[in-house]
Amino acid sequence: MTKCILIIEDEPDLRQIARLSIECFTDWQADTAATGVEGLQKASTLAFDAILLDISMPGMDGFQVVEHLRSHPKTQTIPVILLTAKVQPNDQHRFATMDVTGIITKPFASETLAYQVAQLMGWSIESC
Amino acid sequence: MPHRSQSSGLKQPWTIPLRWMLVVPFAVQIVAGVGIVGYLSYRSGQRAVETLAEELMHELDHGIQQHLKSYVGRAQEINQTNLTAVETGVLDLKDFDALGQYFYRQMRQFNFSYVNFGGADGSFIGAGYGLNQAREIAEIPRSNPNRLSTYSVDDQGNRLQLIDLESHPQTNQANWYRDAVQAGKPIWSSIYPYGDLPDHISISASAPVYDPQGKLQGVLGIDLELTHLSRVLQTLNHDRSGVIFIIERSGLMIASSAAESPAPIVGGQAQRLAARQSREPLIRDVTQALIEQFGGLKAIAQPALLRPDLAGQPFVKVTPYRDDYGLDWLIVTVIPEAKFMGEIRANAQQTWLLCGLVLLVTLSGSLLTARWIAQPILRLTHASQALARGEWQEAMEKNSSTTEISLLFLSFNRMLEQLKLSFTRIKTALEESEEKFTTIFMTSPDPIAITTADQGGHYLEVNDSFLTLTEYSREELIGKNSAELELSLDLQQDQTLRRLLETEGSVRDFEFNYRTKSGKTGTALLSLETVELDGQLRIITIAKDISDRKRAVAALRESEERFRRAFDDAAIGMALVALDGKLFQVNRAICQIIGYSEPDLLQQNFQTLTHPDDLSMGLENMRRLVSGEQHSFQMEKRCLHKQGHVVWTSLSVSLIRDHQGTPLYLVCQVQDISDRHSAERIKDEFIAVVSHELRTPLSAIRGSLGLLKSGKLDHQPEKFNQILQMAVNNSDRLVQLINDILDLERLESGSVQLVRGECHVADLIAAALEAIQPLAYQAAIEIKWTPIPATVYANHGAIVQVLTNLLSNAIKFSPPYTIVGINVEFVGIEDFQRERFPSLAANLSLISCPCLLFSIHDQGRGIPPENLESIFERFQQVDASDSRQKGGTGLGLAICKSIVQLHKGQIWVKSVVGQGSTFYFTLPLAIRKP
Repeated sequence: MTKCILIIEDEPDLRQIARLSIECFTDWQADTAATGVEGLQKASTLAFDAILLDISMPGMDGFQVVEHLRSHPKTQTIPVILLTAKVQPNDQHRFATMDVTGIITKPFASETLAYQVAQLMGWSIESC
Repeated sequence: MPHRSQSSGLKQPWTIPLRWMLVVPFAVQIVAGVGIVGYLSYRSGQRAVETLAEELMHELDHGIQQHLKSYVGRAQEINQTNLTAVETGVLDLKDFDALGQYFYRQMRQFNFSYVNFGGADGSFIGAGYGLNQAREIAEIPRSNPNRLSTYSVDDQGNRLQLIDLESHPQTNQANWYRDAVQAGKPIWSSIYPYGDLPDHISISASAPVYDPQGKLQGVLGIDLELTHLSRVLQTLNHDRSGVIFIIERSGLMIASSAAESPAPIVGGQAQRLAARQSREPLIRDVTQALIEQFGGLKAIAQPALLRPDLAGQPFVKVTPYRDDYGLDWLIVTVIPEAKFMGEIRANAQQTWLLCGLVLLVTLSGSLLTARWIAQPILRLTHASQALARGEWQEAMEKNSSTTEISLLFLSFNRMLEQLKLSFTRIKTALEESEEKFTTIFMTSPDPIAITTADQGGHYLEVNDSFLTLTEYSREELIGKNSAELELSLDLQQDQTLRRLLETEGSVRDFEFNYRTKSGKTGTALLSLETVELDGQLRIITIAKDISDRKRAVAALRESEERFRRAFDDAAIGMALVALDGKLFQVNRAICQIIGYSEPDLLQQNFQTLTHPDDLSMGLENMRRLVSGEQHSFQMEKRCLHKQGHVVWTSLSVSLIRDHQGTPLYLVCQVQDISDRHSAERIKDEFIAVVSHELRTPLSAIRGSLGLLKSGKLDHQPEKFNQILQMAVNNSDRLVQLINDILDLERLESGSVQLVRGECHVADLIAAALEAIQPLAYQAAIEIKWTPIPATVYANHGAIVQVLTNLLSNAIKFSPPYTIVGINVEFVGIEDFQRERFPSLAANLSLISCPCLLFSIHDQGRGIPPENLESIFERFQQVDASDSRQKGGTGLGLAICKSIVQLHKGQIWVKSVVGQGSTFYFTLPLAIRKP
């Protein structure tokens, strides 16, 4: 069954690269959201197998998005993988307390992003 | 052992010998008893005498009155009888022979002096005593009124012979006749001398006789000789101790019991005697007293008893005597007190004599008794006193016959034996005690000295320790005193010590600074006691050398002071904290760090001062200290400032234990690391931001390249180029970012020296406009400015960068078709003071004036007030998405700020949200070339 991934990223370039990184290397479908609010809206109305989530976003940041996701029945079980440039120890400590499936740090290798996601999710991957 | 002896000789202020104790009260009682009895007896006698005198005088008075009534009063009665007889015709006034006989009989019967009738025609008939005291009848016949014939008579009244003839007698002219005729009724005549007889006075009762027609017939008269009254009075006053007298109200004497004539002969004539001229002193004085007492004799209306203050204290009674015919006399009875008191005085003398005898006998008896009782007791007393003086007595011989005293002797002898026995025991004990004392005295490690108790205070004996302390030999010390040896360091303490000893009797632990023979000084605690040794007052002084202790204490104090100052003045905050967390000593530094005054801080504890998030770790560290798992610990912790904010501190704690290892308290050192912490936090944040900011374009580059390299886009040239362009753009952004970071770092670290020179404002703005024009064109923004001819002293490139950055921001945030204005003006300090820029008020001193003020105004969305200052910080854009949407690295304004400040200018912004913003910065005018 085709996996469906939601990418929430405020940087347009990165949003596009992430989407291409998923779609060019797998048969998964990728949807994107430019803000946390838009992401939550999509997550609660559409069905996603996983969410790639940026942390540093204007308005609602990644931490708040996870909080909202986990507090709504419809979204609380969606696996979240953080895609973040925050690599300071303090950030890492905080991530450890969050209910997320994995963390992929920026800059990421676009050619292996899908592979990394599959690994974290325990999915098999077939190259396009 | 020496001991203080009780004062010998039980001296009491009031002691009375037993003998006097026994005799005196007894004698006093007897004297008092006898005296009271004697006095009462005397008083009662006196009262009896008064009563007696009153009774006696009453009796005498009564007797006199009775006599007067019967003697004097009868004359008037007889006159009345004769008058009645004439009126009834029984008596014929014309028959002088019968009348003469009748009168004679009456005269004899009633002992009258004369009874007579004088006719109105000058006739006269009377019988009585003649001048020679012989009885006679005298007649003046009617037939010849010029001749008075006097006849001698026999006992029957018969005329015997004519004995005298008198021509021209004037009987009608005599008082007795004339007074009665004048009165017209029976009266008494005034008192008159009887003829020329010496010492005789008489009074006549006269009654006029009228015929039925009321015509005067003559006067009936009876003469009374008053001398008779004196005799009666003399009879009544038979013992002559007192005096009785009768006087007229005029004070003339009528009769008296004294042997004195009431009418003595003066110059051959009998003259009436006035009572006040009486030879008898009692009469004279009493009369005078009566006049004085009543204010005249006429004033005495009632009988009165009196005791005039006269010699002999006489009792006096005065009684008026009156009758219906005008008689008005005073009867005065005088009885001297001596008459009665003589007896009573004799009686009193006898009483006093008897009392004296009784007193003498009683005193002798009581003296003997007292001697009898007191003698053996006196012996016992003497024996006891001798014993008290320490003179041993042999057993006393009991030679008293009194049981109790014999028993007393027996007890005394027994006591004597017991005392001897006890004394022997005590003496032995005392000797042993003295020996012990000597041993203790000599071997005591504490210096001891015995001195005289007088002002001199000379040493009598000292022990070896005393010699060691003072460094003197016994020979040098004995006989000298402290002053002579200069043992005392100052005179004051000597005086204090002596005063204490005098007032308290003893002194305990007196701190005494001494000097030894060699001049060493030290301190000793002295205890002094005044005692009696061998009957003499001595002072025992025991010293305890505390010099070492004093030095140790001083050293300790100094050490403590050093520690205290080190503690108090330490630059680092210090606190001593009890195991329960309570602060019990703090220094100034820690008070400053957490904003408390010392007293307030001492009310706090570790728990209340620690940020809740750090508390558990702090308590855990303390627990480990106390349990011995670690000796000290350091931690960074947040303290709570009194104002409520957090102060980052570095805390070092160690535990102090006592010798047994029991934890006592904690020593805490606290260092304020707020600045360091803040700097570190800013650095961390900057690194985090820079890291994030660098990674974002890098991610785009890496992602783009990864996609391109994978060949997945090889067949999609458009997509391929788009991704390639994305990589290029992000590379540029990355380069810009790195350049900005480096620029900023160089500017802020001061590692770059901006080369400054004179720059024309027009050149600067032109250069900036040239750089920014494409952007403005693209954004459809018009830039307006008015050039002014001014020159600033600045680095051209840097100021152009500032202007470019500010213009770039203004363009980016302005809506299309709006204007961005540039303005440059000269300003002085007064412009700032005119409150044109209130936000600058605090920083005025940082602006060097005069200067050029640049302002760049836009009509963009404006900046919220809370961001007006922070936008000049690094990566502090109002909106995080601005860097993407508007370009820019978030470092532009921070770079502007650094550049302006390096030019000694200021940069700030005024803005109203929705209306636009104006960025200002100042640059100093180029006045002269440096």
